[in-house]
Amino acid sequence: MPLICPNAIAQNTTAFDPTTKFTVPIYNGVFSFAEGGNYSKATFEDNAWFFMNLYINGSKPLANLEFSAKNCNVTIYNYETSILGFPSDRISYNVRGEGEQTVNMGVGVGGGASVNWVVFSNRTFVSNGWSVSHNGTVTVTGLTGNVTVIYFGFTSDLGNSNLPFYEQHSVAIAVTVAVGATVAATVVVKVAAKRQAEKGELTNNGRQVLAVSESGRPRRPRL
Amino acid sequence: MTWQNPSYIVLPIYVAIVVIGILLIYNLTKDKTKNISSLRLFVQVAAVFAFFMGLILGPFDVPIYAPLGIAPRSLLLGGNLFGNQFPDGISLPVLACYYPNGRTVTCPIWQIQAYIFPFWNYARGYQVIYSTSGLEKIGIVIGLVAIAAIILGRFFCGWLCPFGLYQDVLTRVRKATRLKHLSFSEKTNKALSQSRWVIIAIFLILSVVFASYEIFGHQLIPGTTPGGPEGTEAGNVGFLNEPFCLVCPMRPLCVLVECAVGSMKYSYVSQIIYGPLGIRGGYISSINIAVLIAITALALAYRRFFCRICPLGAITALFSSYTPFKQIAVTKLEKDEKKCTKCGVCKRVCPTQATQVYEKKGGDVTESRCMLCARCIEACPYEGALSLKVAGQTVMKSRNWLEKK
Repeated sequence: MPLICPNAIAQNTTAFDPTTKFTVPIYNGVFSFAEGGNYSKATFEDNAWFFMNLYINGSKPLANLEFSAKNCNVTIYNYETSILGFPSDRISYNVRGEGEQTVNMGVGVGGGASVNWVVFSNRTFVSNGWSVSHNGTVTVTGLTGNVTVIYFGFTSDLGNSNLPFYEQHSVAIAVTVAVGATVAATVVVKVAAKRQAEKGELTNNGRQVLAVSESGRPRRPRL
Repeated sequence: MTWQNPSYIVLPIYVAIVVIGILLIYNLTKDKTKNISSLRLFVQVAAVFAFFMGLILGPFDVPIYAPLGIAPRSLLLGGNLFGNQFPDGISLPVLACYYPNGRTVTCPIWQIQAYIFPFWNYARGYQVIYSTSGLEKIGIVIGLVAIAAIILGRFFCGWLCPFGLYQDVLTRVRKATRLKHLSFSEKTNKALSQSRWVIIAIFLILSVVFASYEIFGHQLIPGTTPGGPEGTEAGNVGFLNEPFCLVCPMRPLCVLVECAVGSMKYSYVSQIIYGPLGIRGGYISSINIAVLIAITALALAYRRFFCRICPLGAITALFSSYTPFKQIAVTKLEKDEKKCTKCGVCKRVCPTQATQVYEKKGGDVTESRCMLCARCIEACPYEGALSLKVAGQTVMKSRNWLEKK
């Protein structure tokens, strides 16, 4: 069932299939999904489709997605979140026509380092032809074929401040203690060995004498 | 092969094989000329299996998330021993590369670089979550390496390092073809040895420059972004993450060997995911391959060539061969001057052309270039002239093999 009305709003798990087209009339763009699936809500605003609780058959969990296509025909074949065991989202699609696509996966809001984003075109990393806005919208321009946009959730929320200091840093503390213990043990071994060596070079009366080498020449005791 | 639960039954079998193997080799080669070399080869092979236990325990052919090609790190053995405070594996001063599957320890060079950039203060690494800062993690790495180096010194290089084994195999190949090895002049060899510090300085400086926004709040070099120059793919994706790993010969060797034994899919390695700057896949770059080929050629000609310039060897030596650690180092090569006739065999057989064993007058002759491989002990024909001592106790000593023959 092709969706051609730009202001269409779908409610509660509306199903779609590969023949369902989502059009962006002003931009002369259209996109669809390679697999069937469903969403709880779809809105069309500012020339972009916003899907709530989007689920594509064969892909991972439900997620939100904002997508738009300009002067091109796009088939989205994969959209997954938490692909690497932490917030890391990926969308893959096929583009026909040198147009422009905008993708917002609801991540990377507030800008952040571009190191968090990677774009591949036909399985090769591309540095040009895409940009990220402050609200986490990736705009891909002029790429054709298979395009993949990945977001890595490298964030700076280190540690759990509720834990006591020694629990938060137990490994560092243990390693510091181990280094200290190793140094102390080696010093003890060293001193013991030195004393033993000195002892071997003393006479019964405790008088230090010159040790005699195999050649018969006296040599100085090693200190 | 597909991923299955690791077969932990192979662990006791492995330990039994290693113990029996060492005892057998020790007894069978007791009176042989090459007794130490045989034992060392066995220990090296056993160490490779220990460091890459995944080769025999699994995971095999693990799934990845195409097109990025990152193997699931959470499956790596030993990865979570210290929890989120230090989740990338135990640091041991051997080139047990971070990148292949199934490793049990981690290369400290990778850790030091990665904890500066890109994970200085990031809570998430490659499939792991950090609860500690980069500085704290670097402190842990250095602490672990220091403990290992104080106890065993560069014994790790001579007896345990997988890349050392690779070079020793190359030496055996060369010997089989009856070609003589080449030697550097003393001056060149010293310069190579000093170049290790230059390599360390380069990768540390690069890492700090790219992490400077995180560390200092501004970029140290204007026009750079985290990971490289602004506007380039390096700048966008952080191409220069772990810069030494981009040129390290161990990474392609590990990854390609794992592909060969079926522990990794070759398609993960061959897949190009970065652009023209040193065309690379998720695991190796063309620079890696070029360096591996060059090092292989050089190691065929010069014994243990890479060990002479290895930055990890330098870091290990720092904690075992330089003051104040030299004074407390547990494992040492010692020389009894009164038994030495200055025949020079020790100097000639040393794979890294260390000279103190010949030049120094008795006592501790361990130096930063000495890998404690005990080749000199094996070759020395004078009973007890050279010995390997651990905590003052002799564990190996030279034998009068001339008279016995």
